[in-house]
Amino acid sequence: MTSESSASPWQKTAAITIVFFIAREIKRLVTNFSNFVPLLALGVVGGKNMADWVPWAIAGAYLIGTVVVAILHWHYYRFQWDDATIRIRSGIVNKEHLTLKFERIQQAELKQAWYLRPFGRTILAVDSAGSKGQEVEIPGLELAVATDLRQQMLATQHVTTAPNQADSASLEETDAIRLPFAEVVRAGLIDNMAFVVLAVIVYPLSQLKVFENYIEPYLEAHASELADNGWVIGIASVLSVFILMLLLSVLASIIRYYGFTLQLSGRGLKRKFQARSGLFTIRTLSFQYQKLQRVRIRQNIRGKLLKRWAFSARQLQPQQNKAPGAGGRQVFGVPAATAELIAQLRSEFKLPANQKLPWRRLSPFALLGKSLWLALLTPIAAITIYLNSGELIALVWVALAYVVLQAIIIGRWWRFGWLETGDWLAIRKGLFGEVQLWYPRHKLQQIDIRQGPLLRMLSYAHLTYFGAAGSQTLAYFPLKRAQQLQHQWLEHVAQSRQPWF
Amino acid sequence: MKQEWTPVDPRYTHYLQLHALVAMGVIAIVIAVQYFIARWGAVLPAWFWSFGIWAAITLLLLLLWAPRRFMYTGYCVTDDLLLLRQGALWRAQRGVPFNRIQHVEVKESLFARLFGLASVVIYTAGSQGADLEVPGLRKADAEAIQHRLLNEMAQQEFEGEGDDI
Repeated sequence: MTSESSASPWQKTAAITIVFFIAREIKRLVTNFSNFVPLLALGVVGGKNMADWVPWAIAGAYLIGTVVVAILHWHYYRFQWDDATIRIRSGIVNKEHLTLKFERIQQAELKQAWYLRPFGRTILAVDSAGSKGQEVEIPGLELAVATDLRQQMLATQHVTTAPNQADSASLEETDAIRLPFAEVVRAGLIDNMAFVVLAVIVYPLSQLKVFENYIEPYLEAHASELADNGWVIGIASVLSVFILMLLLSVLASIIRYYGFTLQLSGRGLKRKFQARSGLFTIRTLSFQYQKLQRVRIRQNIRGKLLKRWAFSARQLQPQQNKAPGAGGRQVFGVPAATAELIAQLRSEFKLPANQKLPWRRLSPFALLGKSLWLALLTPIAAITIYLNSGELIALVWVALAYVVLQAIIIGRWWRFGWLETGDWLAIRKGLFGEVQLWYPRHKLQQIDIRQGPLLRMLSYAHLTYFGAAGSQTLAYFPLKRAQQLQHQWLEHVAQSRQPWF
Repeated sequence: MKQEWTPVDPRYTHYLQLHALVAMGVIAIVIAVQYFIARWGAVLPAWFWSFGIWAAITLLLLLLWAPRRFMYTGYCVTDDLLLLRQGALWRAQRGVPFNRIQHVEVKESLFARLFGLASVVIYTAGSQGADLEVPGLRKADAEAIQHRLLNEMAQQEFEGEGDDI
């Protein structure tokens, strides 16, 4: 451990960072919103007897409380660093004293929040390694200091080697890729996030009865000629929600990816990727090749139409001790890449070119489980529906649904592929779109063979490999083959002397 | 590679039986409460049917499941990895290479202590919980395995810079 004498004195952050602490408190409130549900319920139930000003008074008191707590957090926040460690003291009542060694740091990101930009200050967000991963943010650093500190953190590796040209490669000597504005818009068009959010908020929205209470009467009043054709309104509303989601998604993409620049520096395992983007808050996220745990290349239907792919690279994902309100983890990636850019990224990440990859299909037995369930549930559904409706046409619909679902099961099986090359294990999946996941083979951590009673009867087994950024199951291998692969892959990992995170 | 599986301690069967008995005991209390206090007896089948089913499941667990699970449970320490197999009806065999182990601990739960048993728990990086737990070991064996693994971990050397992955 480095002696404290060489460390900088304990420092306080600039006053403007109070905004950061307020934002953090608000984020905590949103994250812990479910804790307030009983209170809200009480408010709704008992609300009738309450004076009008009471809810406002509670909200106001909470707001003032939040600001006071944020100021206190700012007041007690201290940090210092030396060549190898950063220490943070924080907390109002429960004091926390955190020591983070640079060599354990997985990722260091600069976030130039919009409120800090006019003051030339930034937030340094740091992820550390290990099963007890921690994520900390140091707000209000001057840009130059934060940049230096980040470089220092990322230059300290848990494998210490003689410095070579890769370490000394300065960012001036790098290649840079810049996404034009049109590409940022395309990234919004192919992003799924808005639709995921929609799926999550659909239920609460449906409880508010926005459509029944406001939209429907409005449509009926203003489009009486359409009111007879309910399906026209139906299609129109679905379309407008879809278009609205796309617009929101494009807006989110512009806010997040505006001016996206990818810089590449260094060589070999020390090859470093640095992505910088943002309209209001500018984020700088870097990624070192040595720490790669998984690459994902994804193209959904919209991506197919626009001929764009989304590329992302993952490193070790610390899952525990995430400070509440510390903000979402950013995954390094390129949100919209053309075929040429994807080819370039594949070569940068040392993935084999996409042409003529020997993808292998799973055994047809892999169809068994899902098909059996479907075959079992279909007659039950058919009988239930028939008994309730008494209409024969219902049976036709159930039969049709059966055929479609079974076709989807077969289609997904047909499109699923797995692949083993010297350095990689990969899978490909997706019925209409395509997702490829690539795991460095020597970085796997454990490999399972699993068998239920049915598989034992067939002498088949499932094979699951676990990396530091997720796991993947290859279903229905002949038992002997599964054992052989497990042994082969475990030996490959055991023999590897390469650094792995 | 011929894998030499080391069986776990025979007392592991009794440990599993005690576990099953406690779980089934809790279920019995819940069911009994329904009959005698909650007065849901009217919608439940006659008490002897419930008791019969409960007793059959309990016997199955004690006499079939526990011995079967014990028989299949085993571990194998080779030069560079640790393998564990477990299960009765649903079986799994997990392998972890020594060079991916982050830390190792010996765990003695209350029930395990009653039988003088312990388990070795192994963690790898970035995972949420334990990655591999070898149960039903004598404490001395557990400590020996822990010692062996810690030694192996201490001897791990990583290459520095390789130019290629």
